[in-house]
Amino acid sequence: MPAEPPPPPERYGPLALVRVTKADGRALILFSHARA
Amino acid sequence: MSELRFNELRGEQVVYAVDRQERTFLPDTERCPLCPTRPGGPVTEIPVEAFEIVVFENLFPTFEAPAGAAEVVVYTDDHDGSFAALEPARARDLMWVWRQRYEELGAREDVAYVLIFENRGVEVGTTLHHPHGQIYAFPFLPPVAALELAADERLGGCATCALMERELEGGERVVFASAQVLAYVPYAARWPYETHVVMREHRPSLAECSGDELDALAAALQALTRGFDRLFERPFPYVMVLHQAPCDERRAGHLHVEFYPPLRTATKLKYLAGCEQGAGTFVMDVLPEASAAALRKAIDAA
Repeated sequence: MPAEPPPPPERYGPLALVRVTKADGRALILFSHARA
Repeated sequence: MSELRFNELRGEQVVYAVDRQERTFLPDTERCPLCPTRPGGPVTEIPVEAFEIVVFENLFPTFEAPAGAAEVVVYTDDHDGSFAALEPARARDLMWVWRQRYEELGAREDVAYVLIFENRGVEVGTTLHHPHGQIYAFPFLPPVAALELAADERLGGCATCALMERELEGGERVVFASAQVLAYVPYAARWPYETHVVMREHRPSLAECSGDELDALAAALQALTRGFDRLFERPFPYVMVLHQAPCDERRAGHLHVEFYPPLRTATKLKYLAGCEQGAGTFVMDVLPEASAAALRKAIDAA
């Protein structure tokens, strides 16, 4: 079985968000400028 | 978990976050926890090789669920940058990041107020040089926000709108103006180069701003911080704080950004000493009109 693909990034205004849970359980969000 | 104790004499909460005593203190560049995790390098707080803007929960939180939150906002993966030196597009994106965090944290039941800020420079206690800011999601309304609500009541409407109108009358303390944003050293500044960056239209928070207004805010903040660096030809320390509406009184605030820089000359600091700490009264060595003139010139030259 292939690995499940990561969920598509959320959008907020011009940004794309990817939410990550760090190894110790803390939340982290990667924000990048969403390309059209 | 932090402990809150109410100081009866001052009528205010004090937060005891004793784990913060162990927080990372001015590490070497090679050990910066806010740099990306590069192949073969140390594992940092950010487990990717490159990034634009990152927000994560503070390892040494002042507040944490179920009584608030504390987050770190890293502006860039360039260790040697600064807010002033960000590409304008990155600074504009940062306004949207702030807005997203204000909305998401502000919607939580355990959060009463969202404080977005940056401490820049060892003079104001920064412990990491990598360009970053912080967010404290307070489980209570802090005193400064409460004072602003009281000022609205005292002046019979939005105090920030009224004060901005006064600043526009003479204009001698205005240091930057665009169609959407005004920046000035306030009439009764408490720091030599205290500056307020104010949305011209009444916007309670970032959430009510249009995309154009957010762009204009980013441009104004960068013009000011570049001017600060130009003023004494050195990296200019400051505390930068976004003032916005409390979470449960979303119509009450007026978005503005206040800067509290500690320098009074290129080499001398303004200290909070006997009169400021013991009486709560600030004594100033320079008139706001004089510092505004110098700052205006520096912004124009930056």
